[in-house]
Amino acid sequence: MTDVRQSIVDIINKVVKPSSPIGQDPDQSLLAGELDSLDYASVLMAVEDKFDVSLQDVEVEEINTINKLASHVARMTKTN
Amino acid sequence: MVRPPQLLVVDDLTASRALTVEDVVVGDAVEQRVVFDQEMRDAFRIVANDRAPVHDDERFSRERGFDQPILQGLCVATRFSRLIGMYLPGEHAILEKVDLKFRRPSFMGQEITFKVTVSRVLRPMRVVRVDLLAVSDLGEQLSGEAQCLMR
Repeated sequence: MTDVRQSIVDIINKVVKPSSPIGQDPDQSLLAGELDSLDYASVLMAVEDKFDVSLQDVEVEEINTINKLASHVARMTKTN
Repeated sequence: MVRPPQLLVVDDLTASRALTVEDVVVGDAVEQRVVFDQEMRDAFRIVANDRAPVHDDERFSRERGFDQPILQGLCVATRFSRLIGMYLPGEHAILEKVDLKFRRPSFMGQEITFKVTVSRVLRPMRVVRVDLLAVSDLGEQLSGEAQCLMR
């Protein structure tokens, strides 16, 4: 789970290239900070590619923080 | 089960579609053949007010190696607007991002086939990404990618 979370943080910072690194508060809504919806969509697509999972059937609220997204991806990779 | 992708060929009279994000499948495509004429070029000139001599001046264009004035690149790209906004994803789509590469100059009278193909769907965000391609008998005129939000 820690590895998944760190990978997601890395993806976010690679995709968004924020002025200061994102991921300090893994429970903060990803859309509340420097990410806009365009960035967020790019992050989710990159997460799908990285972990070979589908995020098609989840609600945004289930994956809108780093921790929630990491938990979801960790669950999916276990069941794959 | 996901249905197989479909290709829709349209013309200027084809009615638009109001798809939802659930209706869209990766690989779905829409295409239209277009020949740019004087009226279309003039309409774009009014909107863009781009009167650079390479688009207007025969001699200037020839001196730069073109047989005739070249169309404004964004004039050519405007035809993607119709395909995206009316057919794929269609009436519910709001354009969020466009990335274009202009591969070769386009001219009046040239037949160009525009194709929009769904490359990615992200249902939780209601986001659809599409590949953009415009091809003439010379090859790729322009290519790129766009992202739409389904409202």
